Amino acid sequence: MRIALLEDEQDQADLVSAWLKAAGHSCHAYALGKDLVREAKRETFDLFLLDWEVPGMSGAEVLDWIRANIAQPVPVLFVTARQREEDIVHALSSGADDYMIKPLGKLELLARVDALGRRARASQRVDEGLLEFGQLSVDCRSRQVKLGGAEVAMTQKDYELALFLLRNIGRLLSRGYILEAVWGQSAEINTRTVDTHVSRIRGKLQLTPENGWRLSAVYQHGYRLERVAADAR
Amino acid sequence: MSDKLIVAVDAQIAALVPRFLANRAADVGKIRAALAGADFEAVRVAAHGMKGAGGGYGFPEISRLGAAMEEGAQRRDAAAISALVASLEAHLARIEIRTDDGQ
Repeated sequence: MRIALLEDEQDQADLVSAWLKAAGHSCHAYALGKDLVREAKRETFDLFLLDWEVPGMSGAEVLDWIRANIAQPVPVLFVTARQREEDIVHALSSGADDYMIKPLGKLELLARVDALGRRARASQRVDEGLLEFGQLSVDCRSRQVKLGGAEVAMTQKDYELALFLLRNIGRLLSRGYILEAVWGQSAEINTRTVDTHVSRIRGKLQLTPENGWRLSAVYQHGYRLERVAADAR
Repeated sequence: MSDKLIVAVDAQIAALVPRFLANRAADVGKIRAALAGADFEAVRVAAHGMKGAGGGYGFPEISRLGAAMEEGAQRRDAAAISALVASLEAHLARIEIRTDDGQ
């Protein structure tokens, strides 16, 4: 998962980042709430891990911003050194999905992160076998894409990108997020590569309003694939 | 009998541990300076960070001392904090790291 971490204590941020990265996640750490919010306006994350007590914009205020501004229900795990019941109730009632009390334990943190990820995926789950969208179908087992019954020849990356977009219909996806999800976090590839592949997929799969799709580039952010009425222009 | 405290640290974070311990050693001086100026908020902030990170790095005693110092700062109890800082300094001096690579 692509995780945004709000933590002003450098030692703690380094520790949590190391744990998450070793577990296969990518972790983007921010010491200030306003910096995280600025990035969240143009980047896409699968989970927010927020420390409550940070200078300036607090974790609670960042949580409020996330719930008010990010349409997709992205899970939020609150981390706090506060142990009072009312603080925990406040965090949960403000929209956090889970909480942990510091000091954190590696295995418990990773288990909670995975559980939140599973829950989020389950709520968005589509048929993993055959995806059908009118004329367009994707057989995930044979990795075969058909348009109007005819097979569409695709490279491996084009197929993975198409599948990723189709599994995230309606969701605004940043270029960085797409890059990490399809090419992997260690890939040293320019985000322009995403633009090239998206353009190719748009053409090959005819993802145009005439065919009931809109694959739009969102300025300084990324892409969103949407279903539209077939006669939309 | 050696007075050293051998601490096995997770190989995944082994590279981070020396800096973590160096920062705690720096905290000793910072907290003493804050106490000299009766700046209990500075003590509380340093202690709060210590409390939060110590256990995760494999040093529960540092978390315990941080929590006690944070409480001391909230009570503005300079004598208690001084004693705790001395304990922290002594504890840090005893630590010897061994990387736990699961072998």
